[in-house]
Formats: sequence, C-alpha cells, structure tokens
Amino acid sequence: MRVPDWEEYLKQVLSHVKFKYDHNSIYFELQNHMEDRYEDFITEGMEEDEAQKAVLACMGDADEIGEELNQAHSPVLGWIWRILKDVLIVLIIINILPMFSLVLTSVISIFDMYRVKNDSPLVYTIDVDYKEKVYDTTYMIDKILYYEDNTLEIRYATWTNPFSDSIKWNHSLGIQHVYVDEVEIARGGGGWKGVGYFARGYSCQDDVPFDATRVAFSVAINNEVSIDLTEGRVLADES
Amino acid sequence: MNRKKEIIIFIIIIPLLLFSFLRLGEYRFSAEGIFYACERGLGYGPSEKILGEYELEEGRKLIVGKCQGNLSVIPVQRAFGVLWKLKSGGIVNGLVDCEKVVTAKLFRGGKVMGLTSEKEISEVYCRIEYGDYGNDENPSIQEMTMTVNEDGFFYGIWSTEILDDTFQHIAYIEGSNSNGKVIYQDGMTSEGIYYNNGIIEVE
Repeated sequence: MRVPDWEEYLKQVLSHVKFKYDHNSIYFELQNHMEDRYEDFITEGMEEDEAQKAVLACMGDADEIGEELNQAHSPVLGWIWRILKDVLIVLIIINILPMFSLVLTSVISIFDMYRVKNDSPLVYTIDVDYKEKVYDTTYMIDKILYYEDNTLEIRYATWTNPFSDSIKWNHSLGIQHVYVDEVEIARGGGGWKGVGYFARGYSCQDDVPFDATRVAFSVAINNEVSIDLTEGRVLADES
Repeated sequence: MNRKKEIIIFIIIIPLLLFSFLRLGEYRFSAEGIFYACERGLGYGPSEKILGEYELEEGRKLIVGKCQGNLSVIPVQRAFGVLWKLKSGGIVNGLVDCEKVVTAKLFRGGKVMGLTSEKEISEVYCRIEYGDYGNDENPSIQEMTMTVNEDGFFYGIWSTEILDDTFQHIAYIEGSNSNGKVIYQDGMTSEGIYYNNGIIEVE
C-alpha cells in the first residue's frame, strides 16, 4: 500500500510551532496518526485519493492545529524543560563514578574482616564498647587482644558519612603509649586499616607485659583516649 | 508525562544529584569551602580566620588559616572552571604546630610563614640555610625580614628559584619590637650562640 506524502501539510503545521526542538516529535506523532487513519480508511474500502482527502479533512486546518500546538509547546516552558533535562543528564553522568566508588567500597567493607593473628596463642581479650564521633568520623573500638608473644592488639572500625561536609581521609588509630601503672613502657606501633567510608583496622604494639594497666591512643588531633587493661579481661582459657 | 510535572521533578532531583556529586567527589564552590572541609576531615578547626591565600601554579593556591594559635595550611585547586577541590599530589600540611613564641616554617615554592604569640613583635628575621643533600656542612644562606600583621602572622618568599628537593631549614629566628629592638631569638646565631625559644641553651 502506498502511503501518501503528508510533508506539505506537516510543514504548514510546524511553521506555527516556535519551539523548534519539539518539531521532530510533533512531526512523527502527527505523521503516524495520519498514516493510521489512512490505513483505517483504506481498510474500510476507500480509494487511496479519497482516503488521503478524508485524512486531511479529519485533521483539520493546518494553521489552526499549528497554533494550538504552539500554545501546548510553549517555548519558554520548552526551553526550561530542555535545559533542566540536559543538566540532569550531565549530573547523572558525573555521578556515575563517585556512586560506583561508593557502592564498591561499601560492598568491600561488608566483607572486610579483622585479620586473625595465627603466629601466637591468645592470652586474653577485653571487649571495649568505645565509640566517639570526631567531626564527621566515628571511631569504634571493638576489642583488645593480648597474645603470648607480648603483642597487644586493638581492633577498631571507623565510619565517615560519605555525604558529610568533610574531605574523607583514611584515619587510623595508632597506639601512642602503654603503661604499667603510671610508668610508660612502650610507645608507637604498627597496624593496618582498610579503605572506605566504613573500614576496619587494627593497631599493634610489641613487647607489652602481661601486667600492663593502660593503653592510650590518639583519636584525631589532640584527643588522646585511654583504656584500662585491668578490667574486663577474659582469659583465653576461660572462653 | 506533562512537561510541567517533569520540570518539577527535575527541580527536585537536580539539587540532590549536585549535592551528591559535590560531596562524593569532594568539590566545593569556593576555595574556602574546600579549606574548611579539609580541616573537618583532618579532625580540627574550623580556623578562626583565613590569614592569606597565596597563588601556587596556575589555578592552584595555598590557603593559610589561624586555628587555636596554630597555622592551618591547605593547598587547593580549581576544578571544572567553577569548582574547587583539594590540590592533587603533593603534601597537605594541615595543622602546623606553632608551639614557640615565634614559629616560622618553610613551605613548598620557597615560601616562609609563621606565627608569633607575642604582641610586641612587629618584625621577624629568619636565616635560612639550604643546599644540596650531602653538602649540609657548607650550606648557602638566605636572610629575610618579614612584617608581622595584627594576627601575629608573617609571610615571605625567600627564593623563587629554589628546588623543593634540596635541603633547607630555618637556622635562626629573631623577633623585634616596633623600635627595632630584638626581644626574641630562637636557633643558632651566626656567632654560634644557641637559643631555644628565647632562652640561651648553649654558648
């Protein structure tokens, strides 16, 4: 079936629509509608020329339709819509990478576990329920472990809200001092911490005697926190 | 969907996406915004006052603030023409301890700056020793005098040609009052007298 060419009629309609970015969609919408009507008339038994005239008659005056469409497709609203849409697309694109990073680090942090020290038997553990928020980062100390090779280990986690108003640094907790009564017997130590908005880590200090009474570490700048090592000890034999 | 409804939805979603991008990407609309965000991230501040903003390379600058008697030194850079972010690469000094009566520190790009807690000091003199590593015995010397502002802050550029990977340190600092009288000394004088924060330690 030969479909008539509505080009002239459609051009006449579109000449009234000032918002040019909508011309394509209006053109195809009207064209499809006219073709559907045309096919209907042919199916009903009309001759091709007759059907073509009937379609144009049904559609009405091109200038009138054009004016109505121009009002419906207001250029002011059209431009606002188009600019906002483009801005939205750009924002979605530039958010893809940070969002991907956020999801990835979140997934990693779910599976991120504390390391298990296998080279020395455990002597005692202390459950520590310490939590402190410094600006946008929350520091949580879970447990202190003491091993037969005189290693003291602190297991902790940090959480920083990814949408908070701060640059995200990978903060770790380092053991600053270990005391027997008030005598400092060791300072400094090693450790490791995962990367992410939520991350677990540990901090170790070697050569810590069994009778150490206190451990101190720094939480952010100029904020030293002390934990008593004499209370809450659960000996490995008991557990 | 009605175009008006779509516009309303766009107006709601766009600020959320913008906020998300700025926060996750660590961008801000101003250099000061990044400066304060960096301070929060490092766990101190905010600085009571921004003492100065100094141009580094093109599109980058060093912002210096005063935070509880210390310096807060953070480099920032432009991003996408209108935004700011933390300078990529290099060092973020963050909080610089100024525990002495006059503290002066050297920074990248031949900059020297510092703070004094003594109100009477109006001028600070520094003797800077520098040279190639391994040649510490015979360092080159650069002297400079800086004016102290009402915040106790002083700043200067001691060299525009010095390479950052050379050995350099402030060997001696002198603080003078408005009459030109030296009222504070720190470090080793050229005569070999050693002062520690204004007190003679070794002669």
